[in-house]
Amino acid sequence: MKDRPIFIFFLAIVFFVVIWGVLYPNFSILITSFQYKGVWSLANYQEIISSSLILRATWNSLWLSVLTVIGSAIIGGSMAMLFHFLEFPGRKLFSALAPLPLLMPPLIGVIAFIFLYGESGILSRLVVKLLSLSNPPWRLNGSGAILAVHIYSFYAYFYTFISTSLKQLDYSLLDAARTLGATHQQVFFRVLLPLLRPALIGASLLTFMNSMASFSAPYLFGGGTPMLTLQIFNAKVNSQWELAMAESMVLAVISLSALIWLTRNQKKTIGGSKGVSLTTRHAIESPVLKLLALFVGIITVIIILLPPLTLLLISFAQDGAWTMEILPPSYTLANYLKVFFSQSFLEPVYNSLVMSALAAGAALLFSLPASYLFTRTSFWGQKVLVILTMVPWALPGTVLGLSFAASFNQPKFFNAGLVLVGTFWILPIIYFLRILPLVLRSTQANLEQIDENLESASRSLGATFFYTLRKVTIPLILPGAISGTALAFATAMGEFVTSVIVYVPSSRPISIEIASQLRAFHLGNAAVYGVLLTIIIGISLIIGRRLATLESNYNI
Amino acid sequence: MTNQEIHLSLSNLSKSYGSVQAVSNLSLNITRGECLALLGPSGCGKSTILKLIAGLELPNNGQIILAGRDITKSTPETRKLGFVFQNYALFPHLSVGENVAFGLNARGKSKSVISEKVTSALELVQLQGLANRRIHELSGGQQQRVAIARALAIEPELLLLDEPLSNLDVALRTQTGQQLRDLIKRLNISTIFVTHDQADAFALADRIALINEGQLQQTGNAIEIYFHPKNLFVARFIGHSNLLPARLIKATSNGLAEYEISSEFHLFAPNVQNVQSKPEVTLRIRPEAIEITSTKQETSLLAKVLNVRFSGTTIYYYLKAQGVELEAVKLTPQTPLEINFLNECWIKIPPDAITVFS
Repeated sequence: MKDRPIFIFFLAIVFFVVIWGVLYPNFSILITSFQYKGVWSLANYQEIISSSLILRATWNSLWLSVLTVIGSAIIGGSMAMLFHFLEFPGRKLFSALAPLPLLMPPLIGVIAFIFLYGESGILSRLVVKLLSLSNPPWRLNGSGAILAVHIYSFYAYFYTFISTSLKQLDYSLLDAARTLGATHQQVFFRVLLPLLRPALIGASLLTFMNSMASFSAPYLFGGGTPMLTLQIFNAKVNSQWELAMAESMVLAVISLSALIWLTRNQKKTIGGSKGVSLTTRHAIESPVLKLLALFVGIITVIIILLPPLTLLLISFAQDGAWTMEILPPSYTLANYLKVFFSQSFLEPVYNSLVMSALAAGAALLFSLPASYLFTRTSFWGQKVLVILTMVPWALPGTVLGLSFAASFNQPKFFNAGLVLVGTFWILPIIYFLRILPLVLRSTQANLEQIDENLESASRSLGATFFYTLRKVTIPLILPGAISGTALAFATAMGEFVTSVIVYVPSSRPISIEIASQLRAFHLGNAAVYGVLLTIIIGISLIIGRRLATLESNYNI
Repeated sequence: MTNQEIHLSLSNLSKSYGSVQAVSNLSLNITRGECLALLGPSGCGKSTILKLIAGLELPNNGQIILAGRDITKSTPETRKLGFVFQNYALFPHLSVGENVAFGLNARGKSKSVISEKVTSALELVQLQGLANRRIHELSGGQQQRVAIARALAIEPELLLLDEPLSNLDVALRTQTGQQLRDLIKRLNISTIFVTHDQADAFALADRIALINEGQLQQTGNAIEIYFHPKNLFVARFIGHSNLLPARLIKATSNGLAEYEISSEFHLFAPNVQNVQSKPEVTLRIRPEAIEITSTKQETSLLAKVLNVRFSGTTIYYYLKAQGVELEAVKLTPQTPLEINFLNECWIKIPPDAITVFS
């Protein structure tokens, strides 16, 4: 074909990114893990096996992740079912608020939890006062606290995945099962659950990998519960490089095995018939049940809204004035004014915006040709290439950060003398790799949906390959691609785990600043950053959604 | 047909996808101004032929000559053919007018030329005034007309239509088909369309090419194909035929022969046997040619009426004569009183109602 040279050019770009952004750093980490004081050795792995602390950390990470999946599935799943099968007052509002925690990066969720349920958190103070206790009846500490904040942060994956499936579900299948004599329980277990299987597996995968990789919660209130990510961080801080690498390998292997195991089990969705449903939502008739549903809905919404509202409240609290009272006694705009009008306070916001925009823009520029290559052509090794671009996203952030720290720390033969550690560029590049799959997948999905006849039609009307690309293909996928880019931008804005490993103080991102403000007990400042971050993320996600609906108009 | 000049010539065209032979050794000519239907069951390769002509696929073998120019290997954009896709493939991000203008823009035509040509193309398909509409605001029939206008706007050498009527509902099909044929004839543009529906092919085309398993089975106008199917595939594909296995008994006078369908059921039909060929044949009896009477006549057979289906203009009779099932069709009589649903009737099958396949 005459279009060949351009495809080869596309391919060269993809290879460049995959080799230096994925293969080289990961091989570096693998090789370093087998070295001890610069000599080939299994010492690091022996250390892992013999250290009860590291083994316990690994075990904790594993079972906490499994419990997170189970807990999130139960809570997110029940909410999705409740809001989709039953009709009761307030249902629409509840279902709109349910995915709200997705707006808050894990770090923000964690600090909101501290403000609310921590030792001197608002709710803890309230309970102490009401019950006249000397200490709150709980401690936001250890595995219980980690699990709670995990479930709060991740149940929304189950909620959104299951809700989407329920919206697309062909309800006539449920009707059919009922007319065939199945009971409600049988319909649920034999028909509904199997149909929801892809959604359940997808959400489980995301939840498991996110909680294996979770760093903010163990970092800020891990207490006596060692977790693998924290161990890696500590080893790195103590300059036990090679041990950190070996621990990273363990974490990476667990995460990637889960990825492989779950995607293997995710059989292709069973193609449903598109019948017209007879039943939609069941309106609840009984006033008692109606009240009960309303009650459950309200409690859920309160639990969801309390953390962000607390964050908002604290952002207006005067630093240092809050001692014994349940709520901060005096409020001020000072925290906000400080951030907006002081150069040094505004800097992290600016840094994060610039670095995330660079990363998201680069991801978009890369994804357009790459997705074209991955969907419109086929070549040997294509699948491997697609999977490799996903690796930096699938790896825990700690591992990704370490892999870059290990491979671009000093001039080497393989990195062509390129040193990134200690420069501004390391974070934008890592953000780029981390969010790339989000953009690539949405671009690819959009490209796959485009009828290839549109391109054929353009060609037969006399348009060249490039004219078709410019006037047909790109305009059609751009809204979807930008919508994926907005999500990627939001993800980069909230990034903490990788940043904490390789950030440079002069270009520290907002998340790092939040952690250090918190450490200095400047709660108000930390909260202001948290609120700003949540607003920025919220805005970019709304823009993304608008664009996504614009695109669905194209599908006639 | 205005003249007999060959406009498009396909010779020995072959295309395979892996081990699947989609088109094999196909040769076909169409003359200027002719409207040709490629008719065949789904998966027979007819759409592939269209794509080969348009350059959306390249043949493994063979040659495509358009107006004396070899276009076998040229890219789609240089062929100047108007392609109307089955799903219309209208650009959803462009308005109706922008869709029609697309090919002209791609060719770098001036603004004034484009607006003039867009207007006249939309007038041709009676969509004047809808240039600013979005595609999703149009009905299916209107979308199809936009697709046709878009293809015609580039003043193509040839109009190619892939299943032009299949996406329209039944009520619209006949009317749209008629309008399409009027348009094609008015513009005198050479046209090839693909269809799996023999009724569409009969209604629209000057000539029909029947395709099966990538091979050309027969070409001819509707009447030739209906009355003289060349082989069993064509006979089977063209409407409700009675196809009965039979055995040649002996040749008789007037070029006829006697055939045995069952021991009690013998028929006279054209003798197509030569000395070497086997006596086993298949007889195709046109349903409308079977004569049905309520009283016995000379050489008529008694048949049981299994079922009668009234379909408005015609009545279908499902009959059983001497253990052999037959389908017959009659025009509905003038008044309902004349329709009698008999339990038994007498049938007569004239020799020219029968085609013999050896």
